[in-house]
Amino acid sequence: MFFLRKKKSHWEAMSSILQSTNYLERKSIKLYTESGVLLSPSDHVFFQDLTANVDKIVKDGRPESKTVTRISKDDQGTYWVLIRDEDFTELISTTYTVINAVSNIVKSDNIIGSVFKLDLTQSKVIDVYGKVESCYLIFNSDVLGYYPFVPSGEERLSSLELDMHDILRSNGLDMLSDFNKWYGISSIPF
Amino acid sequence: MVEKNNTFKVSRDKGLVSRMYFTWFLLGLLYAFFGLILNAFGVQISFIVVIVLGMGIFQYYMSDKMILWSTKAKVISREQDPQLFEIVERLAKRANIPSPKIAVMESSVPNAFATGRNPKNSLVAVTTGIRERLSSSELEAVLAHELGHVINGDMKVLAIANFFVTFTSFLMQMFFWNMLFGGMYGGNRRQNGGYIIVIYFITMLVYFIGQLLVLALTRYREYGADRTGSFLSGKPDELASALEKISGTISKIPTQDLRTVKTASAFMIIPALSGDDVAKLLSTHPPVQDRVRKLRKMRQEMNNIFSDS
Repeated sequence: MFFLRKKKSHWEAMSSILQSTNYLERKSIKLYTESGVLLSPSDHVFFQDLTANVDKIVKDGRPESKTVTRISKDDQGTYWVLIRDEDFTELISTTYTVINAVSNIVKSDNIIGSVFKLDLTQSKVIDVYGKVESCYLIFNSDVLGYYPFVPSGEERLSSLELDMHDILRSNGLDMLSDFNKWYGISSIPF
Repeated sequence: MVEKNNTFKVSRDKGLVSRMYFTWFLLGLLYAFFGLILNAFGVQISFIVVIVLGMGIFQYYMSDKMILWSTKAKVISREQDPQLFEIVERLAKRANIPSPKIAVMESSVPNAFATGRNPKNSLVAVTTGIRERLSSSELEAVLAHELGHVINGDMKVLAIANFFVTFTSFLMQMFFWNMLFGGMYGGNRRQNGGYIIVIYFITMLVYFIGQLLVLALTRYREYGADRTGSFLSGKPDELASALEKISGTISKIPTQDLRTVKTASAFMIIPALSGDDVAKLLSTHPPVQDRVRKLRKMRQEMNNIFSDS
């Protein structure tokens, strides 16, 4: 508590999810092979051809990459950069690359958050919490931490979110413990 | 902490038990040194020990009556709340202890407490607020927590711990008045002035450290009662849920969308030492978030959802 904390790099914090993959596998919690980066648009030229610009970032120097990206605009006027890759390490790496590039080219303020998804349908969680299919992990680039988000209809399943937070944190994931800042995201398109 | 009973078992939280023993060790060490210092300065403490001991024994034996008087809680009969009686009696039977007296306090603030020097003389009280807000299984979990305090003998433990702090507090006052008016030990104010100031500040420091250790011990006893209560009721999740309801923890998880709150101020870097850390040190109860976390972990162990075993 009295020690100065060494600040982790953006990549270190985001890639901490890779440390918990073994644990998640053992618990039959599946990592989705898709992620999303939510962007708030501005009049910057980058947003004029977002699809081409994102594609350029992803393929830059890696023409053989199997990562697939698409852009989706939601009803709130924000853009989703949706990234798909069967290799989870690649997925994390590409998501980080997109965030990093947007921060450098536009501004980090334009990044609202990035989202990953855990499939809970095969896990024992379902025995306790009933019909709950997935848990989103939102990564906040400002505080460099993940937090869980489990929408359940119009509500949130907060007790499961608290559980997921504890268990993921104890398995190496950099989690945001201050749940006053666990803001949800509506209409996640995956 | 109770490890085994005739009808239910509590597995030890080794970390918690060792922290408790370590705190006791530090408290003992602190007062052993303090005793040596007082002896070196030739301070006579026997009469203060007698007064504080007398007060402590009185408080220990009269605690149930005193707390009823101070909280205006009323001991109720079975006819007044059969459900409450049924839950308490069932839990007491499972714990193999006599069923405690039950009291209700008119207050909309949701709360509950237990008192009494031993299981035979124990009392469990709940507020009308907690009766209204909690479901019956959450209420059972809360009552099991309170019985956990009785089973673990927390009154006795904390009475002993508090004895040291009360003793230091008395001594501090004595030195203070002695500094002002002097001459308590036969010398005059000028002769004694130097050492009295030194011993006064040492006593203040011991009081402060002692208080922190007793507060830490109190918080550990809360964790202990959470654990004992959860094994007694088999409902750690319901206790977590009750704590969240009482403290409003769940309601602190924001309902706004991240899109609308994405501002720099909403995500300030958490300082290494926040006001919360200081508040934690001075609190008699552990933070609800930590208790809930431990309870959920306990339930996870019980349900084997996440554990590797």
